[in-house]
Amino acid sequence: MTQHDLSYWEEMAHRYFLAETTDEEEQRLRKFLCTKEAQNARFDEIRATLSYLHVSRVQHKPSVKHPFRTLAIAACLSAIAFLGWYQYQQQNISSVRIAGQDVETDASLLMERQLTEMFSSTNP
Amino acid sequence: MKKILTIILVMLSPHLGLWAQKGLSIQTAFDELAVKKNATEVVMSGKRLKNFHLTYFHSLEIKNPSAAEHQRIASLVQADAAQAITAEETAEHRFYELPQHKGLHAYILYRNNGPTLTLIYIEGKATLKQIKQFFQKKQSEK
Repeated sequence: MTQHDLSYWEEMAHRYFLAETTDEEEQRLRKFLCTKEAQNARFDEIRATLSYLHVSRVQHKPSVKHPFRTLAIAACLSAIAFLGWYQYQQQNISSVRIAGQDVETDASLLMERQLTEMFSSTNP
Repeated sequence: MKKILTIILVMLSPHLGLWAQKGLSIQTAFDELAVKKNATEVVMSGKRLKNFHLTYFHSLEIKNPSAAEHQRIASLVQADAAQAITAEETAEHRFYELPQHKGLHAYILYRNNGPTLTLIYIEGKATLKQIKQFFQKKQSEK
């Protein structure tokens, strides 16, 4: 980049402080300040100003509010809790039905008897 | 939000593969015949099976089965036997080892000694040999 070019940017920085630059020129000025050629003391002031404005803008960016966010999180947590409980219940089934009717009896005993009988006449 | 949905899906996933027996013909036997007055159905899963290294037990025991009931169950068992990787068959019993499901062994055990017909589906880490030995030993201790 030539000395003339640097003068061009310097002049644009000057116009920026006079509020005479367009949005497009400000955009180009920002991009230029990030280049190697702009690492010059004469651009320190404009760089500091634009950097400060950028940081301020980011920090004070209005947050987008999600009105149902809390509700959605609560619903998800409830679903997780329910699934956890349901899974626990499903993993520990023990039921006996006789003629299609649930019967209160020890399923373990029936299971053990059935398996013992199943293997009673077989080879090991 | 995506993370929460992922957690929910992960929690749901075990249910999707629960009980491989659902894809077997013998499921029809459990559905159709468990309501008969001479039938006893036992379903177990979870920590009470841990001692046997099993994860799922489902049985159907029919006292004094009719010829039709016997025929029905035998044909359903025979249909599933087609996919068995090992089989042990005698006049009184038939044991079939099915392809492993999620790293677990799955077996169909069928026994008909005349007055009692028993159909069992089991899943677990234990092999048939280990299950046999366990219950045969148990019987000899009585």
